[in-house]
Amino acid sequence: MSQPTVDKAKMVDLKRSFTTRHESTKKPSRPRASSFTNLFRRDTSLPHHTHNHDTLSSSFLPSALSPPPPSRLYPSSSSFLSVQDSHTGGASSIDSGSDEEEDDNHDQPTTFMKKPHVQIPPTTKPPPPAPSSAPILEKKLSTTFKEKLNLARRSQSAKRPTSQNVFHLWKQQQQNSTVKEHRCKLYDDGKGVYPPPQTTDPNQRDAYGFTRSTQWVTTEEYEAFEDHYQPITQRRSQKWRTLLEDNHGEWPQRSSKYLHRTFPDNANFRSSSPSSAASAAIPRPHADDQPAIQALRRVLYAFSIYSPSIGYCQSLNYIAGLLLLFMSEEEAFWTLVVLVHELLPPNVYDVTMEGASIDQAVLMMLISERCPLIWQRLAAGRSFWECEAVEAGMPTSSLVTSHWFLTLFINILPTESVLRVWDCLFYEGRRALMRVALAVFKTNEHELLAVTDPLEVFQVVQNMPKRMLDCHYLMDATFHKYASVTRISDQDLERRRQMFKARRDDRRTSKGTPSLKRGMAGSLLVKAKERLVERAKTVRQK
Amino acid sequence: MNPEYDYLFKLLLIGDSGVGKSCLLLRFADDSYTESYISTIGVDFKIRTIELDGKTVKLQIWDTAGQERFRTITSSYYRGAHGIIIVYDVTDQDSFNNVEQWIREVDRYAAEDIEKVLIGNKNDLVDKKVVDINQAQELADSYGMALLETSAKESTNVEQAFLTMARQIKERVGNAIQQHQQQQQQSTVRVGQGASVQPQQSGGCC
Repeated sequence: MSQPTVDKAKMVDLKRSFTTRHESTKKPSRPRASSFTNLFRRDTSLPHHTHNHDTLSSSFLPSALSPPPPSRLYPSSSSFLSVQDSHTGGASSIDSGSDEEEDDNHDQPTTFMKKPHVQIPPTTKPPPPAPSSAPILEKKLSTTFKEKLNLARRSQSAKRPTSQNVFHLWKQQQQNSTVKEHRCKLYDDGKGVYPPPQTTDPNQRDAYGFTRSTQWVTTEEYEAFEDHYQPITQRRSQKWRTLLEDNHGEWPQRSSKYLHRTFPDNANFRSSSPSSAASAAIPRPHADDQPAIQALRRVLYAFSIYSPSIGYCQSLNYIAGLLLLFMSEEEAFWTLVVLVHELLPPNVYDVTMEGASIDQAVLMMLISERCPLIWQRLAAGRSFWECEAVEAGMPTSSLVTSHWFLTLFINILPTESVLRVWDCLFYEGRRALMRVALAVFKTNEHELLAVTDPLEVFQVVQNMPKRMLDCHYLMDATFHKYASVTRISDQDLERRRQMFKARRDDRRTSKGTPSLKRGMAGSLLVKAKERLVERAKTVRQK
Repeated sequence: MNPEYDYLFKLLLIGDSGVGKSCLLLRFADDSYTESYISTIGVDFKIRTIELDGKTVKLQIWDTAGQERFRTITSSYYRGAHGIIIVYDVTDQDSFNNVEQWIREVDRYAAEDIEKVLIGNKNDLVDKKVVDINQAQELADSYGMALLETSAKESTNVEQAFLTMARQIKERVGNAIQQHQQQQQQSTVRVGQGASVQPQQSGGCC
C-alpha cells in the first residue's frame, strides 16, 4: 500500500473516540510539560503515577525517543520510595513485585534495588543475593540510597503501623473487594438486561476530563476509591518532591498553583451555570471544529502518511486521543510512532493484523499453561493445541482480549488504571500488556469459574476489567501478588511469538496443497511416501 | 437444561463503519440511544429474549467492528450464526455500495442457508437521505433478502427488523425440524430407500 489509507471509518472514529465519556471540547490549557512524568499527570495535587514505572517512563521523552539506559539508575530511587510506603501502611508491593523479576531484568541497578527490601518486615519476599561484581558507580549510589533509606526509616519509625494495623488495613481492603464482587450482577438471566443501563453524571469528571461514574463504576465507588487512593498519591507526591529536591530539580517541579485540586477544564465546567453545563456535556457529533478533534485528526493523518503500511486502524484513535490529553500534537505523534513501531510487536495494526492475532495466541497459551482452570472455561474443554490447529479456533474470549491489546486497555480499564498500565508499558515494554492481561484474568478467576456457559464466560471476560478501578491493586496483583503467573521475559515472549508466526506461515503455504496432506492421516501418508523414496534411494545406491 | 427459551438464535450485525450497528443493537436490546457511540473494536454482543408465535426466542446479537481489516478477526463469527443483518446508512451512498461486498463476505464465511436481512439505518435524517428505497429494494430482492429502513434514534422499525430476522430463522429451523422428522418417518416406512443408504455406510466401515 503506497497511499496512506485514511478511510471513512477514521472520520467517524474521530468523533467517536471519546465523545461519550470525555469532554473533548475543552482542551486543558496547561503549560506544556517536558517530561513524561509531567505529561502523564495534569495536576500535582493528584499525583497518580509515582511508583517506579513512571519514574522510569520519564526517560521516554517523546522528543528523545531513545531507549532508556540512563534511566536504569532510577529504579533505586523509586524502590526507596516503595520501601517508605510499606512503613506507612500503603500498598507498596508493586515496586517490590517488579523488583522481584528474575527473568531478563537482571541488570545491575535492579539488583542493588533489592538491598532495601531485606529490611522490610511485612509481606515482601527476601530478595535474591546481589551479584558481587557491581560497578563502582552503582555501589556508590546504592550506599547513598541506603543512607537515605535509613534516614527515612528513622523519621518514619514513629508512624510505623504495627502488624495488627497492617492486618486491619488488609482485612478492610479484602472486605471492600468482596462487597464489590457481590454487588455486581454478571450476566443476563433472561429477565434483566446486562449491563444495567446507568445514567452517568456529566458534571462529575475525573482528573482527565472523563466522567467519573460509568456503566460499571458508580459515583460512590469512584469516591470510595479516591478516598483510598488519594493518600497514596499524596504520599508519593511528597516523595517525588523530596526526590526532586535531592536531584537539584532535575525533573521539572510543578508550580504551586497545581497543588490545588483544580483542573482547568473542570474548573471552568463547574463554574458555569447548570444549564450551560448540561449542554456542554452533550456531545456534539457534528462539531468538527472542536480543537481536540482537529488535533486528533491531524495526528492520525500524519501517522497514516508516516506509516503507509498501517494507514489508519480503529483503536489508534483512542491511543492518539489519550496522548493528546497529556501532550502537544507533535509529541503525541512521535509517541504514537514509538509506541506502534518500537514498543508494540510488529504487524499489530496493519491490514493483516497478524501481530494482534499472534499476541492472542501467546496470551491464550500462557493462560492454558498457567491458569488451566480458567483455560477450561474459555475453551470449553478443548486443549490449547486443538484450538491453535484450526484457523480462528481460539476461544471466543480472545476477541475481547485482542481488543484489550489493540486499545492498550483504553475503554477497557478505568482511565486511572489505563495510565498505570501505560507507565508499565513504557517501562517494561510490550510484555507489560501481557502481564496485566494475565493479572486481570487471575484476579477475576473466581468470577470466571463461577460460570460455565460459554456466553456467560464471554460476558465475564468482557466486563471484568471495567470495574477494576483500584489501579493500585491492579499493579500489586500484576507485579507482586500474581507475579508467578504473570512473569514472562522478553525472550520467552519473543520465542512464542516467533513460533506462532512460523506456524501461521506454514499453514498459509500448505493451504494450496490437497486437504489430505493436512491432518493425521495426511501426515502419515506423507511420511510413508518419504520413507519409500528414501528406501528406493538406498536400494539404488547398493 | 435451558427451560427459559425454546429457541436460541445467534445474529450478526455487519456493515460499514459508522452506519449505526451498535446504535441499532442498543435500541433493540436496551431501548436507549446515544448520539455518539464509542466505536466498536472487535466484537460486542447483547441478549434479548422475545416472544414469537407463542415461543420464547432468545436472541444473541453480535455487533462487529466495521473497519475492513477487522474482518479477518470477525469472520470467524459468521460460522455459528443463524442470521446476518447487513446495515447501511441511508445518508451514505458508499455504505450502500459496499453492501454487495458484505454479502460476498457472508457467502464466503457463513453457512449456505443463512438468513439475511438488509437494513437502511438513519432514516430519520430525511434531508440527507441519498439512497433511494427502490434501489435498495431491487438489491434486496436480487439476493432474496427483506429490506427495512430504520431509525435507531427515533426507534422506528428497529423492533420489526429484528423480529423479521427471528421469524425467518424460526421458520427455517422449524422446517428443518419438520423435514428431519419426516425423513425419520420415511426411513422407517420405506425400507427400500433406507437400504440403499446402508450398504454405502457399511462399505465405508470396511
